Amino acid sequence: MRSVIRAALAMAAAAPLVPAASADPLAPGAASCLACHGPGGGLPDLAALPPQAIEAALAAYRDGTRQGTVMPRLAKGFSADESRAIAESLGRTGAAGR
Amino acid sequence: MSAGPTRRRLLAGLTAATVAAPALARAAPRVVVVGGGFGGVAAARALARGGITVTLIEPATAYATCPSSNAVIAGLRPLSSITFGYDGVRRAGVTVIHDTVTAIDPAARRVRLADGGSLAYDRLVVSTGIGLRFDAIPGYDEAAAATIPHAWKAGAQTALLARQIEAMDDGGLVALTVPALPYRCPPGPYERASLIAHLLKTRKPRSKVIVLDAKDSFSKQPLFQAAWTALYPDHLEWVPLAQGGAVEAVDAAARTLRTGAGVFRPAVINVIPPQTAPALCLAAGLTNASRWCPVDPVTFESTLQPGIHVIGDAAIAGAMPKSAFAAYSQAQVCARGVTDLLEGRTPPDPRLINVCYSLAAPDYGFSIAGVYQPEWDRLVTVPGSDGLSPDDAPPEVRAREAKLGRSWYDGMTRQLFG
Ligand SMILES: Cc1cc2nc3c(=O)[nH]c(=O)nc-3n(C[C@H](O)[C@H](O)[C@H](O)COP(=O)(O)OP(=O)(O)OC[C@H]3O[C@@H](n4cnc5c(N)ncnc54)[C@H](O)[C@@H]3O)c2cc1C
Ligand code: HEC
Repeated sequence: MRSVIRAALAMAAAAPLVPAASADPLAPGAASCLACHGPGGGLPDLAALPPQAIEAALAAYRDGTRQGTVMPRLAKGFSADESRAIAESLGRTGAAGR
Repeated sequence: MSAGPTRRRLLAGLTAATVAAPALARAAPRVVVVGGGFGGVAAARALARGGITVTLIEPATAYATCPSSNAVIAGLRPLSSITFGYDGVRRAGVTVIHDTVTAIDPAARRVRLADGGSLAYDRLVVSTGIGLRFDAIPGYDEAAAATIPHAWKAGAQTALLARQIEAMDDGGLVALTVPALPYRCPPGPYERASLIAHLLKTRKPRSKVIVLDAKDSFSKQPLFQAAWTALYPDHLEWVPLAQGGAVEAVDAAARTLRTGAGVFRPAVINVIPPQTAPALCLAAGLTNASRWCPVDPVTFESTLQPGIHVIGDAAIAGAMPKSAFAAYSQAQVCARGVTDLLEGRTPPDPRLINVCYSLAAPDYGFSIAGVYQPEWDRLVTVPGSDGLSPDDAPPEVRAREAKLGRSWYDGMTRQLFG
C-alpha cells in the first residue's frame, strides 16, 4: 500500500500542473478549515502563511492568549499534534498550498 | 493519527480489502453523486480534484441556497443573488446530468433515471437533502403548500413567502410554525422570525410575527432571546410547546392554524413541517426506523447498504446538526473515504467542523461552532470545542459576525459553484 502512495506522490511532484493527487491528502480536519479560509472568503489565506505561524496562532487561540470570534472555539477541537499536522497541510509548503 | 485498532478501523480495513482488487483492476472507477446541493457539489468537486471520474445527477439547472434565503424572505436581497448554475461545477471536471434518480439498486450497483436510462457505479454518494412530511400535520399537504409556503427548500417557495409578506397590510399577523427536532437547520426558523420582525419593525410597524413552536427550547436560544428583547419587544412573540405552541391542524381554505394555545387566522402563514430523509432513501433501504440514514462516521458509507455513502441532511451524523457547513465538511471526509476505499487504503480517523452563523438583524450576527470526531460508530463533539458566541458581546462583535457570516456564504458559494 505504502509504495502505491509513494509512487503517486512522486508522480504528483513531477507534474505540478496535475491537481493535488488523492494520495497526497490533507491532515484530518484541514479540509474543513477551507470552508472559511478558501479562496474568495475574505479571510487570511492560510496557504500564504508559514506552517509555524498557523500552528502558533492555533495554540494562542486554544490557550486564550489570542482573541477571536470562532477561532478560540474551533482551536480547542484540536490537540497540539493535530494542529501541527493541519498547519503543515495548509501552510505555504503544504498539500493545499501548492 | 490516533493509535490502536478500533472496531471501525477493522471494518474500514475489511471494506478496503474486498473492494481494492476489482477497483484497481479496472481503469477508472465510477463514482455517481446524487443531488447537486451543498453536500453533493462539494463531494463531486473534491472527488474530481482527487482524480476520480465523477458524475453528478441533479434535476434542477439552477440551485437556490437555503442559507441566505431568510434574507430574501425579509426583502433584504433578491432570489437571483442566492441562485447558482452548474457551469462552474462542469469546469471543475464533474460530468453533470440534469435528471432525477428514481431508484437505486444496491445489488446491481446502478441508479435509474427519470428519463428511462440508468447509470452504473462503483460507489454512490447520496446527498439529496430532506423530504418534507406532508402526512404529519392534518391539513398541511403538498396542495396546501402552494398557498401556505414552507419555504424550507429554497426557490419558488422562498419567493412565495416573500411576496405574501410584502403584500401584507400593516397591522397583520405573520405566523411561523416550527417542528420538533431533528430538522434541517435548527436555528433557521428563529433567524427567519428575526428577519421578518426586522422587516415589520422598519416597514409595517403595527404588524407582528408569532412563532408557534413544537419545542420548549431551541438552538442559540439565549442569543436569540436577548436580541428579541432588545430589538423586537413589540414585533416578535415565541410560543413554546408548554404554552400550546405545537400546531395541531392547518385549514388551507380558511387559512387558519389550530394549536393548543387557540385558533389563529394570520394574514401570512409559514408552516415548517416535520422532515425525513427523501423518499428515494426510504425506497433504497438506506433509512432506519427514524426515517434518516445511519452511516459509518469515517466514510459516511451506509451501515445498511454497502457501496452507498450518505452525507448532508439525509444522514444521521451524530452530534452534527443538519447544516450546509456540516454537509460540506462531511463531503470532504466522504470524498477522502471513497477515494481511499477505491484505491485500497484505510481511511484515517477524520475530524469534522460545523459553524453556523445566524442573523437577528442585518448587522447583528452570532454563531455556533463545533469540532467532531468518530467515537466507535457515531460522531461526537470534541470536548471544549462547541459553543455559542458570548452572551455579552458588544454591538461591534455582533456586526462583525454578521459580516463574517456573509463572507462565509460568498466564499462557500463561489467555491462550490464558481
Ligand atoms: C431557511 C434556512 C436557512 C439555512 N441557513 C443555513 C446557514 O446559514 N448555514 C448552514 O450551514 N446551513 C443552513 N441551512 C441548512 C442547509 O440548507 C442544508 O443543511 C443543506 O442544504 C444540506 O445540504 P444537502 O446536500 O444535504 O441537501 P440540499 O442542499 O438540499 O441538496 C439536495 C439536492 O438533491 C437534489 N435531489 C433530491 N432528490 C433527488 C433525486 N431523487 N435525484 C437527483 N437529485 C435529487 C435536490 O434537487 C437538491 O438540489 C439553512 C436551511 C434553511 C431551510
Ligand atoms: C467559520 C469560519 C472559519 C473556520 C471553519 C476556520 N476559521 Fe480560521 N479564522 C476565521 C476567522 C473569522 C478568523 C479571525 C479570528 C476570529 O474572528 O476568530 C480566523 C483566523 C485564523 C487564523 C489567524 C490568521 C491571521 O494570521 O490573522 C488562522 C491561522 C486560522 N484562522 C486557521 C484556521 C484553521 C487551521 C482552521 C481549521 C482547523 C480554521 N482556521 C477554520 C474563520 C474560520
